[in-house]
Amino acid sequence: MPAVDQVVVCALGGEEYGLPVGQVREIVRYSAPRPVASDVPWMRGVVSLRGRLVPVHDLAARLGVTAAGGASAKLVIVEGDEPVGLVVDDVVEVLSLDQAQVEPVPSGSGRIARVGERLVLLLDGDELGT
Amino acid sequence: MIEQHEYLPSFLAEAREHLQDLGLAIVRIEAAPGDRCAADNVFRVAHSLKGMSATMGFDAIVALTHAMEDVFELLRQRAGGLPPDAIDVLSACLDALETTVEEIGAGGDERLDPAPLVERLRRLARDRSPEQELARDGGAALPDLTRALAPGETLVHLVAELADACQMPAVRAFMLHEALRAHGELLGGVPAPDMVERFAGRRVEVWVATRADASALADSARAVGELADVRVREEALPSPAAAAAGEPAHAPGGRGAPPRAAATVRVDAERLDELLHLMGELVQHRTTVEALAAEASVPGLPQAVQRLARTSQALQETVTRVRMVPVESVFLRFPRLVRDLAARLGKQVELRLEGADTELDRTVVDALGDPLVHLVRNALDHGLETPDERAAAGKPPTGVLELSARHAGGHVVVSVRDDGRGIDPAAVARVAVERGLLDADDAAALDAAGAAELLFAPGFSTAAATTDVSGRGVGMDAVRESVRALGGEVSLVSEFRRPVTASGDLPATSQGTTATLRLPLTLASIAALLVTVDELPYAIPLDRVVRTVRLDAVEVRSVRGAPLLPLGGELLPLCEVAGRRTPSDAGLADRAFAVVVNAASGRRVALAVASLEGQRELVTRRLPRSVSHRAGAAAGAVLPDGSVALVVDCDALCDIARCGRNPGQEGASA
Repeated sequence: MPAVDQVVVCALGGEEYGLPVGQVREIVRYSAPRPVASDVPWMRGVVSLRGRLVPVHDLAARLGVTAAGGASAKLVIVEGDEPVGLVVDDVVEVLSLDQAQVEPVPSGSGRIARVGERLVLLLDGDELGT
Repeated sequence: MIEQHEYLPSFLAEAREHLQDLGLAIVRIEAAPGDRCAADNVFRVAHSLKGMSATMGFDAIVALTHAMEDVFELLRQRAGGLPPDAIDVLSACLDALETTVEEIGAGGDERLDPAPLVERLRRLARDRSPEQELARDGGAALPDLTRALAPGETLVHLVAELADACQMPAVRAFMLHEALRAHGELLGGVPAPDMVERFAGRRVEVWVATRADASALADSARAVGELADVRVREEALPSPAAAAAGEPAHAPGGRGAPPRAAATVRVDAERLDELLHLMGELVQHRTTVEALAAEASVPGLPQAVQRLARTSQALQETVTRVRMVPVESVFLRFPRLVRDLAARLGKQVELRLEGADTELDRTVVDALGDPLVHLVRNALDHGLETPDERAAAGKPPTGVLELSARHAGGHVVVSVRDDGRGIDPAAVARVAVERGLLDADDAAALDAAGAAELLFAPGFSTAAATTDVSGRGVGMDAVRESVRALGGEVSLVSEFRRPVTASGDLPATSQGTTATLRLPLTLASIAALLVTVDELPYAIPLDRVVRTVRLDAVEVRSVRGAPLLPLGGELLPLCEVAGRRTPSDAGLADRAFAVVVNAASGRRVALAVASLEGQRELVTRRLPRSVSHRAGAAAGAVLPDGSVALVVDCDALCDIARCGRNPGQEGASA
């Protein structure tokens, strides 16, 4: 199990998700992507990030939650084979996690961090970038 | 082994350059075996590669280049030129080096076994001077640069040639090592410092980490005596600081770099792309400033904006020019390829290269290589005949293969012409029928142009089946696909005549076949007609646009639900820019215009659009991989307001329009 260090905590559909800081390239305000046909079901189109065209993935659709949308929506650009923008409702904070706070998801795969009363599902940017 | 990755990019770039020089030298030696200068080049390249590889710790490359250097040092001094099999051995060495360099570049290990090649090299020299074959081993120890040089230390490479009179090389080498140890630490050498007692060669090489001056080391070495020659050089290691900053770590003039390198700077290709992207953005911002300035009334602003425009235009031209490289860099790989392949196929070929100095954007040159290799191989394999066949057809035994490049408007045209047997429509028709691509009636009516087009049909060719039949065809669909991906087109023209006689079995005569690649000069920017559909912008490459038509001025017809546009007696499929075959459910209600475009192979289609926004110069951007092929988009472009336009892929749309379900079967209906 890779060491958990710092994660970027994002709000999405009333839940919280954490992405390793090292995999987040930058966070930009959400702007509607340019639609384009794709074989990836949750791809919503492309945006220009300083001239580079970056695919925008609907993280809520992929995770099966309903995004709140709204003015605070952000695009989290994660590193991968090629950068991908993930749509989230908001970026909450950067959390430092202790290994002791991390445990497997009770039902299903993945890992979850307990921070006080909060539950943060830890995501892997490498997986999401595909 | 040093932390290679920091220096790896510059190592690879330099190594590829040297290998290209080596390839050129081989071609020249083949043309003129007595060419001293070319033999010198082999020596120089081997020497440079050895030095570079030694600093990187690539032992096998060092072993091979060391042998090449040795043997060519000997051979170039002999009268009467090189032995006849030198070319083969050198070609094998070059292949091995190229393969291993590319493997290293792909992140792999150095998987070169130098021993068989070293043996072949040594044999070249042996027939004349067996005494040179004295076991001169003692192994090579390469400088271990994990031991970072202490501040103030430099890495000095010393090469000492023992005098002919020297009776005990091992003793001299030992003394030399001792003399050098006084100045610093021996990091490695040939022979290895701890194997020196077995040394029986004539040349001693040592790498020393030292605080002393290189000349002081040379003086100490000379004091050892019985040395014919001593050379020292400070190895120009790229400084880690420069590498960390992303600087191309290159030491011009250091490792025997050719003189022309002195006036040039090697730049990372990605940086050139970055430069062009930034340039594109600057142009966009300039447009915005110009628009704002037109509304403001600030004294002096119009003049300032004008000066800004002039300078940025000049900058744009310069940036574009910086990216231009002669097509020669692609052409140069063909003399060897053609020579090797012709020898294997038992054919005689004269290769002609025309217009090698034609300049192209680097991206295009890079992408041109593979399709061109494919076409050349096909021409050699299927087009050109063996000397006997040619004689029977009344042709000279040596076939001609011509590669040429020239500019034509905003395009570059690269053609591969052979004077071989051409494409036989009857043979193509037979194969096409066998493969179910053509029915018997169509087969009987197949003409030369149709046959040539059929060769591009996916599924037409498999290497085994068409080798002797078509004269062309292996993987032509792959060639077309990659050329189209570049925004270009490829076509085949064959002049083919079968004499009409009573017996009917006279050999066909042919003027041969010409494959023509038409490519944009640069992949980075295009002139386009900007249109909108469903309020989204699309860019149609201007060189494809035939005309625009107001849809309210014509009566759109329909066949099986697919709309057709009658235009000058022709019925053109009316399709969507977004890749769907027919306009969406909303029908054509909001489509005010049709843009008629030229697509592959002289076809035309009409694209239904809502509005025409005018002509724009757009910097194109690569689309992410997850964009579907069905999108009918070749690239993207960022408009001044930050929105993204899709650059319409006319050929893909035409395929979709013509074939509905399966764009792949386009060729079959030809």
